[in-house]
Amino acid sequence: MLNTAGKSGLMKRKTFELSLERGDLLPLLLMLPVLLVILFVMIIPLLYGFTMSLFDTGFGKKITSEAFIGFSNYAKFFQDPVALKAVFNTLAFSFGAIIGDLVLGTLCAVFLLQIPRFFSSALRPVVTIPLLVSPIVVGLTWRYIYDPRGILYWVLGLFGLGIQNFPGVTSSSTALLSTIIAHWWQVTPFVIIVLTAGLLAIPEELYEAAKIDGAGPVATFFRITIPQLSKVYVIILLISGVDTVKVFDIIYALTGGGPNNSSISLSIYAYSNAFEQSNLSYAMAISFMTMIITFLVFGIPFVRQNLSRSDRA
Amino acid sequence: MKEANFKTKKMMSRIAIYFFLILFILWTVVPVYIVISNSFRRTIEIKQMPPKLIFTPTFEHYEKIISLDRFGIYFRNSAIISISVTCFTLVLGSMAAYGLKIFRSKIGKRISNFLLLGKMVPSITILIPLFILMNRARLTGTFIAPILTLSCLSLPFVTWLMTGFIADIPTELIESASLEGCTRMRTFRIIILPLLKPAIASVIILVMQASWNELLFSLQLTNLNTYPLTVGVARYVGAVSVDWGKCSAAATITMVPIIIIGFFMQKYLVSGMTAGAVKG
Amino acid sequence: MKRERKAVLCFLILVTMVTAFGFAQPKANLLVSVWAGPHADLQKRVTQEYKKDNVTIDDVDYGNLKAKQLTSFQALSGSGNYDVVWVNSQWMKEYTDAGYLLPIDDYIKSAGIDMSIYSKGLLDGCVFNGKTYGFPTFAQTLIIAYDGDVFKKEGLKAPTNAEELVSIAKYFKQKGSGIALPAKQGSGAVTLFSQLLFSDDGYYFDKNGKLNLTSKEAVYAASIYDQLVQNAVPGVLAWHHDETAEAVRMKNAPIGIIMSGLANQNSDPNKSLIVNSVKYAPLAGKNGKAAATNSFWVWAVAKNSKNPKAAFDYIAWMASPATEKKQTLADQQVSGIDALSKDPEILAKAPFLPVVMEQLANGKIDPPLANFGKLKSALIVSLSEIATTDAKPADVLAKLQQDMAGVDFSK
Repeated sequence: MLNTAGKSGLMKRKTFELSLERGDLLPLLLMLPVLLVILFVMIIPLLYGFTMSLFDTGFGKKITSEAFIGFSNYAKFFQDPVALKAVFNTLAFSFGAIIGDLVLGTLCAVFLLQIPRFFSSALRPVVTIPLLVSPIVVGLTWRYIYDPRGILYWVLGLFGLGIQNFPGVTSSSTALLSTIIAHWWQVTPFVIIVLTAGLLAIPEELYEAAKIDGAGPVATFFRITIPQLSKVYVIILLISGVDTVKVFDIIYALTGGGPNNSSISLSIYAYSNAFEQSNLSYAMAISFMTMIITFLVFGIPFVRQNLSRSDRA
Repeated sequence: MKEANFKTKKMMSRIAIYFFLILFILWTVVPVYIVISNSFRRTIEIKQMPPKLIFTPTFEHYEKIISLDRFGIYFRNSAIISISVTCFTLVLGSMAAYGLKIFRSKIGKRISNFLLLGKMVPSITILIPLFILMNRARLTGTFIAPILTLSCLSLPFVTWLMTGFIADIPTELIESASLEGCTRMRTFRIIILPLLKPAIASVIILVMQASWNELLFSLQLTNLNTYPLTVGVARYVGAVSVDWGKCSAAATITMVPIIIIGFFMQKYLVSGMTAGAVKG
Repeated sequence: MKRERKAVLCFLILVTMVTAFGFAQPKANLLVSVWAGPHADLQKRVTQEYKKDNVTIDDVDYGNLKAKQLTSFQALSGSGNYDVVWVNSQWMKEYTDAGYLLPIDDYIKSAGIDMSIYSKGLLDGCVFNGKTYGFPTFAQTLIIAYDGDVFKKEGLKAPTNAEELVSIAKYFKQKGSGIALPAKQGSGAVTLFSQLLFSDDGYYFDKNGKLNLTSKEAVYAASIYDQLVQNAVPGVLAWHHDETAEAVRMKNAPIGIIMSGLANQNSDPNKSLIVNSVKYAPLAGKNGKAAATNSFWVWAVAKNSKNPKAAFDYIAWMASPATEKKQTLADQQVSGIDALSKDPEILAKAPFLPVVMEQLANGKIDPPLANFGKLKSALIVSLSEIATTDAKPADVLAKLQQDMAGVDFSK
């Protein structure tokens, strides 16, 4: 029971934040369940998986000391042309997906705020629909759309275009792009929501000052809106950008990784090794490499930014 | 002259904006419409081009999947799993966020940022070890395994969001409560929770959506009696034959409830993200 | 404090309910894993007549079937793992090597089952190291299906060998359509390639067991595949078996190479526009001989099953002549029992049956070697390369041969 009546302001703050040394367990008790869940469901399997990647093991095989192969799976990864192709594809997918998400999302979020409130509050729920659809349903829907005898090509046919102009999922040059388009469909709504939140948080005074200075809409956009949104973009990158490196469902449903491995992603390659080629330990190594790559691309800038920011109360 | 120019420019940009938005809405809605309308078409019509906008609907696909394939049970299972995961993550996440605040309120937000690193773990890495662990604990095939796993996938995000939200609450407010003689848990209940409402609504829609739509873990950790809807949809995607009629019906049953919930929660989605994700 | 207690209580109740829900599962004596599809629906209906035990069929889509079976084999006995599994013939070697399946010779003997009724070629794929691991069933092979009316109108005759097939495809390509075949990056293309290879008496390995992908039969098969893809209807590069069969029965292609297991849909007026005009022909090689890559499914018992005897009784029943006949009459699937294919009742319903049986009789099985999976995966990519680029089939095969040089194919 805290009885802080009559103490000075500074003392109040101190007693409110009881520290561990005083034997105060409540904060830890509050945080404990989350930590336990993450420990048992994520960390321990992760360590187990890493161990598996160091041994020549598979389904049903025990981990024996003779089967220790150290980091040879990882060495193999760097010499495996399919693995390297998967890295390239995954990064290309990630890059294309994120750029499209951000550009489309920004345009849409900004425009939605320009039209009368009445319209935008009616349209916004509609815009968020794709976010609520399961990846497998997204994959199926777009598989139907991209079918060479299907709707997309019928529409293109009305404009005199055909499958030669845009081979879609049937050609190695455009297969990855087709999956990226399906991804844009699903993830742009999330970007729109977060950006809307961000846009609403920009103080009006900034815009007024710009108007007084005589800045046009485009200049305002690039000089004020975008910089103010930079924090939000980082958050979007962390939440949905990271997901793009793990991409599986959409590509699997649309192209299976082909044609000619032009759209195989790291997760698909790992899955194929684990279940189709009975190469479980290599699959673990591949997925660990995926994690490392994700960290290199997204984690390092994030950690740097987080640690360098000055302490704000 | 200048004014007239300015006015036309403004009108042009207005038109451009509306044009873009209309195209975007179409691009968003058409695929969904395709799936839903296909679920009511006869199989032979689904693959015929040009698509007939007006057609006689049939309920045969729905009848088949509900009676023969036990789709009602999948729906129940999905509901049980998603609702449980949502409640679980809400309770645990907000508790942990509050714990972080009273532990180290100044840097709590930055600590919670590190939780987001958890997103970098690919599902396939933990899938098999997790299955083995859950199986040894006799949890596979029950609801506990998917609930626990899916909660873990969302917990870092929920905790982070809540921490951001709580960080926004002025410390004076909290302190005045303790001045009045509240225990810290009472402060949580009286002051913090009501202020978390927009965040809670945001979490509800985002976590429900994520667990309702998850496939990989749900497939391996459940069995016949606990399969959720996503597994049911996947079942119609064969290597040899895709039954588009049943598939679309299954996909519609999977999509529509979440979309309806989304519509109701719309108002909170943006406000939830504002304080929690954007500020602080 | 009271309200807090209530909240905690509610939470605990929720957890208890979920736990109760979680652990309480209705009793299922036998859990069977099969591949989802119309045949699974049939299996469920037929199983309802099995009175001996309580059987539940879990049909999972093909993409996830093997993954689900593999994890089931790791599970503890009686923890909801599969008792009976439907195994693709190509996985048998892997499963038996890893010890996932139960040898059933003793059960067969005590039940007095006559195994000679099963087609020898298929049964051989169920026996490893002298032990029998299951009953063969649901054999499939790629056959040619074409629209008889269109052919009559164009004055064409069914192709009797590979060259004729290619020229028919060219003929239609020039007229704006083409042939339908599964050319998506995947196992469908490999099946096609191997059937062409086996039809010319070729094989993956030469007499000494060494890998020989540059044999003239292999190069011929690959170049036929290449030419067929060049003369195919647009879009085949995205098609696996189902899309190919659909193209044929929806009249998008007048001729196609389809899986026999899908042929029954051609006679379904709800799904097909060629119900009355569809005709079938063998997929023959250079010299007119047609051979299958014998691919089929096996009813097997999981080693970690809690009820092995009951599981065996079920699979013996499912694979018995009476039950197989019932299924074949219903959806024209090809069972592992030779005699049924000569049954007049069945022939009446399945006009493609003689074609399938001929190909199965000449057929060979994929080599039961541990590393064959690696070869197959690489072949999938090579065939995709042949189909999508200008690379010469001979060159691609030579490169593949080189890439596989270090792999051990001795066991």
